[in-house]
Amino acid sequence: MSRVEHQPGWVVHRRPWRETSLLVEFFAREHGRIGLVAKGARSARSPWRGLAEPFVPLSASWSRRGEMGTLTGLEPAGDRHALAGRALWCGLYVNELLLRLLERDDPHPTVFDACEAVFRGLAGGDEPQSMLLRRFELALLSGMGVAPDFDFDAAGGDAIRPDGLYHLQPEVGFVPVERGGAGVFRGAAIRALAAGSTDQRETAREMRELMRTLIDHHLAGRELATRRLLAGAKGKSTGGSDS
Amino acid sequence: MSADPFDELLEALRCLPGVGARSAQRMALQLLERDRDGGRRLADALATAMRDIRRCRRCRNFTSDEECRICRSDRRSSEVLCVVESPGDVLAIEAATAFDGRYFVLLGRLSPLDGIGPEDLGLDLLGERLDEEGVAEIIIATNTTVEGEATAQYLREMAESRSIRTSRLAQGVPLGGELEHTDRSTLAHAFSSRLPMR
Ligand SMILES: [Zn+2]
Repeated sequence: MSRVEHQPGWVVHRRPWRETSLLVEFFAREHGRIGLVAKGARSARSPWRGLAEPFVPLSASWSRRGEMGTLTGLEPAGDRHALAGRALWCGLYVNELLLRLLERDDPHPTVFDACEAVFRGLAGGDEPQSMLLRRFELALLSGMGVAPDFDFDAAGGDAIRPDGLYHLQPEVGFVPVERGGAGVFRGAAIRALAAGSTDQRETAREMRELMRTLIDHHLAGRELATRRLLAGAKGKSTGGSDS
Repeated sequence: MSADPFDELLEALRCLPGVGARSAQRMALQLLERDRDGGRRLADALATAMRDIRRCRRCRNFTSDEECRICRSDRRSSEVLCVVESPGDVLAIEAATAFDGRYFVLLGRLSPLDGIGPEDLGLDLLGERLDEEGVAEIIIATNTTVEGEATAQYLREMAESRSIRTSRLAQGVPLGGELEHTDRSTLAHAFSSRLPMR
């Protein structure tokens, strides 16, 4: 049996378990995503009640043998990121990506830090949500080691030119092409993504599609429920969904 | 050979929330030893309820008719609609307030990570009501969990696209509560959404 004390992390998701407990997907900076049982966390007198929630910086301790660990300690390590409205949906999108794309027990400290940054950005509201999400998506794929080279093309290794056109092949990279078409992106959008630049109105849609192509490739057919939510289905077409 | 009726009863009782093996045994013995009439009444009431109670076709609350009492009442205003997660929330608001509008019961909350989407909450039915009934204000009374807030946002967008006013229940320090003992996130929220004194 292994014991781990006071690890910084987040609750990615939790669901009720038995009468008063929770099954928690915890994302710890040094341990990656792990499954924990939080015994009694839903009972009225539990000190953990209301604490094992997404978007709260936490410090957790657990013991473990086998697949699932047992939570032994949980304390707030900061104030909850106050995500409201659409920003909350964006935060859930981030969590869904972590849940679907990261394997359990695979440490990803850079993804963890990107998570913290995206939550802080979403709560702050100073930058467009779309840009915050693009930056996170790229950090996630880079952290997983599956992001293509955004600086050099995959044919001759030449630098990506802003005025060039490139066909994205998720396992290969950006291949220069002569004409536009499905899966073809402008060099300007690729460069803007790599630079994490924030005011790129004219390439925003293209950047979203580019990241979506990559993410869909790694989702291998699984759908994201939060993406449907963000696309909006209320008969009111906003045309500006963020994921 | 069929199962022992006593064991069957214990097993059946355990479907109730908070009832484990010991309390199931206590309940069963109480009914068998001291209150057979009560036991029969319970059995009848359960059978009737399970057979007759369904969802109101307008608000999704539980009712034994096509439409529930609140939806049928002509003394309730159609202008204000209060949206809640569960039938228990309707009971609580009815008991605690003088609210005289109508309700819509989601019977759940948006939880995309669990695969619960708008279509599971009867939100198309709610949309129809908003389009047809001349609702002027929606009171959003979902819980203050992450999922409750995600649901509130969805409701707000539904209302906004129809130019309907929305309000959200205030969240803050409990009445009679002491600041020192209020949990951190409630206090932080109450602080940031403080109101001018009147
Ligand atoms: Zn009704």
